[in-house]
Amino acid sequence: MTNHLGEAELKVFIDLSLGYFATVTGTAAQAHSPRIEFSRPEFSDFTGMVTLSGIADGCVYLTLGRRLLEDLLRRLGEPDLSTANCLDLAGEITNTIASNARGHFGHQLTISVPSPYQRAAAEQLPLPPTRFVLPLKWNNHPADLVIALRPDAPAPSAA
Amino acid sequence: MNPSLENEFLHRSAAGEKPEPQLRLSPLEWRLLGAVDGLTSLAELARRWDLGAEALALVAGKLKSAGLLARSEFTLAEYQAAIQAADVPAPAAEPAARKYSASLKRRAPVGANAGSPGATGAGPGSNGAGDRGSSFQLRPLIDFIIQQAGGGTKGQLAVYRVFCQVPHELLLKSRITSLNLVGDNFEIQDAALKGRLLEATRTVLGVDYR
Repeated sequence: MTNHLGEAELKVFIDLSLGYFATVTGTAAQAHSPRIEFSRPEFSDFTGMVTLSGIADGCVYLTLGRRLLEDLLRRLGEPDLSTANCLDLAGEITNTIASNARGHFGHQLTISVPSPYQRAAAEQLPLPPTRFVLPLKWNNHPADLVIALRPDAPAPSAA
Repeated sequence: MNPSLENEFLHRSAAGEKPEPQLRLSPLEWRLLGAVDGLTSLAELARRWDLGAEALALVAGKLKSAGLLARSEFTLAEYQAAIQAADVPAPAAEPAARKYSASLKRRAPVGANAGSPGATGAGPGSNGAGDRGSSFQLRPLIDFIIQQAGGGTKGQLAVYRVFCQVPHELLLKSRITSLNLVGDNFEIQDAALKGRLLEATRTVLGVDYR
């Protein structure tokens, strides 16, 4: 598998994630300075994740705290702030981002159906070790958008 | 939120840049030591991490007392250079937060960092590899990649694409666990890691570094 997603393509996921909050809630999320991590990933309470295949191999996920999701549920008029609803919303956010990304990339990049996870389950996932982490803040609640791609396989021999 | 903490900007002292191997700190203390960049206020870090600012101030106080952190002050030229280097474009992002963020950007030449032990002749902003024997500085390479990719978020994603090509075990062998934690004067001693970084830079950018 070879990653052919350039900077502009990867930035699509950032733009779509920020666009979600601005469009759905009317309150923009703030992007803070990104970092690249190589150590064991840390997850917030809830995570919505899609896997990528095709021209790239890896995953993109949003990991969000319960308070953010509860605040977002209230904003969306949902009074039930249960764990199940928070988990559903984490998946729904990722689903919206994934749907828009599919529209952008078409068939060249396969984006899976989103999977929502609670922290303990997310920590068990085998993820690519090198991650681009963009800290976000929506309505004073932190979240991380993470892009994790597997390295290119060696090019096939011409012989 | 204590208003004074909005104006509390810290950076690592020389001792903080290269902590003694036997130094023992709590996870939060290590996190703070790794996160300060001279441009992000203590109050902002507290908000990012969803912590009480006063609690974080206590941690900062302990690190300052231990000589690991120091308050950041700039000359006008240093400040202007720092502002110029900070340019994370992101839709709908808070201007102040973007302006002062510097994780993957060239750091301001603040305090003791500029003259800490191990510094090579390649200063911030130099695109030279900072060669000294077989080692070379990581920060100028990161600056080079960001610049070549057009700066901003695209530049940072280009750095990510380069590091994606580098075997994980080589990074861990050199104790690089996060680019946030790599000081300005971090030197790569491992020839294999250096080679893979240069090769990956060539693959991703299509140009040679130096």
